[in-house]
Amino acid sequence: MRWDAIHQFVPSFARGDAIGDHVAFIRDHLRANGCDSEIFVGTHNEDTSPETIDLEDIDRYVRPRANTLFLYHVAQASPCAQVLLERSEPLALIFHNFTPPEVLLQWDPSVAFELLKAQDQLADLVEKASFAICDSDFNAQVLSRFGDVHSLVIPLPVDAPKNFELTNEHAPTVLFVGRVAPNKGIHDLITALAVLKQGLPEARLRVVGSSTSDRYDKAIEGLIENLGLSDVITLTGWVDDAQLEREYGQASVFCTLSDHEGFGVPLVEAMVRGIPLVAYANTAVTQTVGEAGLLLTSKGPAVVASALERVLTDELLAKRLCASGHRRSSSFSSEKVAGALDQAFFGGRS
Amino acid sequence: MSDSESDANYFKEVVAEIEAEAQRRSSSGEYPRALLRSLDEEFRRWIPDASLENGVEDTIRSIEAAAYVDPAVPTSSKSPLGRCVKWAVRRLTYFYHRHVTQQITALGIHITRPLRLLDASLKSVNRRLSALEDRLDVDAAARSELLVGISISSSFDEFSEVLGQHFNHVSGRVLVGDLPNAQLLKSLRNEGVDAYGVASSDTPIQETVDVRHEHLFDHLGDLANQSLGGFILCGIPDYGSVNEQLRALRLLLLRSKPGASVAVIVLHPETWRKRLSPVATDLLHGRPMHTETWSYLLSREGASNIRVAESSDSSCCLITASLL
Repeated sequence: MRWDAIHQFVPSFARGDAIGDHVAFIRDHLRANGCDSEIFVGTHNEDTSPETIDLEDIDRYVRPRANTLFLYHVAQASPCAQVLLERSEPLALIFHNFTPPEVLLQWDPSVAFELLKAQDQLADLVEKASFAICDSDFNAQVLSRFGDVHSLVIPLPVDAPKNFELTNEHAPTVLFVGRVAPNKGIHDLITALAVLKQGLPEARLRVVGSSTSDRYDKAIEGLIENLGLSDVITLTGWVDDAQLEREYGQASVFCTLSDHEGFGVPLVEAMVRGIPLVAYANTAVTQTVGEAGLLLTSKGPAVVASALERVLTDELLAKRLCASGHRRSSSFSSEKVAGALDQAFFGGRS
Repeated sequence: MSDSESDANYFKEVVAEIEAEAQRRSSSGEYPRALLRSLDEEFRRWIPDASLENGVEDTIRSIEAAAYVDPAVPTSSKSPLGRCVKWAVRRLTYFYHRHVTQQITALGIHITRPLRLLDASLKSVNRRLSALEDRLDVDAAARSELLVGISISSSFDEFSEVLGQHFNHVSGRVLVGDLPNAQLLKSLRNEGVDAYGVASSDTPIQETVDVRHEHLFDHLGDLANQSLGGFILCGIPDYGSVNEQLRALRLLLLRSKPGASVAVIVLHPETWRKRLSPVATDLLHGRPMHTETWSYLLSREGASNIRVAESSDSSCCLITASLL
């Protein structure tokens, strides 16, 4: 199929977040291949507004009767959904999955209800969509519960950064990168560190990412204080790209005990940088990590602490994890992802 | 075999080794049991209890706000003609839009009313659950009536010396509860033990000793984890239900530091049976647990040096131990 334009729709657009970077990657790739491509947003973001078009201006940019495909990134409830349902242009979905509302109900009920709304919207969108692109097999399985739509699995692209260097002059550092939210299991990491310190008193944990829940913030801050870990656990909050690279550079091991991942970009970011990986095996984590990390079937603090201590003290194991992760990360190169997207959009033409 | 396959097999073996190692360290005490015990409870403290209440209310309010639809269609336009046309269309179709929006608003009300009922019902269930949590024993009232006026507590005067030695080198405070009288506490303090009592009975206890007049469970609920140097559990093992006895032990273990010295004083089950009437023995289904059971429970928590001593008249027993 030859599309003159493929426009993307996204609830909101931010740089440095997994979906935002994915949207920008697709736009740049399409434009580089001569296809008209814009980003329409449901919620205006001042920081990225030069790159985006507000949803209400859609008619000023979309030419009627042109051969245009709309791509909608499904991750949360958005006014985009209603607009897309009413338009006549063909629609494809990129499904990034949602956090299960039941996980958030206790912490942020209003967010949980918003996610229910997003699920309702998805059920309607699936009926209209010609096909869907899912970040992982796990997401494709989840999507199939919303209706029958042809799904392709194409991961998110992650490339090796230029001039990245791991430094070994720091104390043994466990790194987590991602949103600070209840489903990400930060509290499990904290309790694991409390146990890890019994064997490795110099170990520390850095949690890099912005928070989405004040209540959860308070809980983990209280937990850290009560366990006497304030001097060894750092919650950095949001960091820019340069700081993120420094955080990866200082990491001795990357660990995630998340209960729900649709893909897990930071897992690949760690692998591509040669950082050994310890993760709780569930949802899409198992598929993303493949055979390149220590996948734990329990996230009990004793098991996680033993795993972290083993990686931090067993140099041969750490090296093998690094090499294996690096090999695995090549499956997510932007070149491969771009090829798969061309196949999906144009049947192989780029 | 490819590198990936070889790595995968190796990593699986390592994970199995790690799980075995974690198990070994947990049971040997290398990972302190007190710490492992406390981690879950520590986080649970911070999970919001009543978050649903306001959250559902807020959500219902937002549904109500969203259910109101303004029938006045916007008439703004880039050109004056467009504005005029839109205004005219709005005037002409107003009756129609008003009819539709009224139905949508009614639908919103129909949806939010049952939601409000559901919310109220959830809150009521939450309240009842909270009350039930502390009253799992449905015979609590009958038991309380029977307990009034009968003395079934152990006599622990003759254990004073042993307890004094057991708690002599403890670092931190020693809780004695549920305290029937001040005698044991006084003798412990005379032995130099930094002990304090918790007494839930209404009987006043001399204020010269440090005694908190509150329910043992309330007191333990307010204590920080790993704050006690040791404890002597008494009273509750004589008259508490099995659930109360196990709960008291569980909380005391959580609140004790690693290495704490602990003791349980309990009536011999046979003595208990002889002292009570058939009605009381039937209805007070707590029944003191055997010393073997207390020893088992303590050893299961990794306690060491578990010793059992019997009073000279064999009416009650003392179990002492040290936590890892």
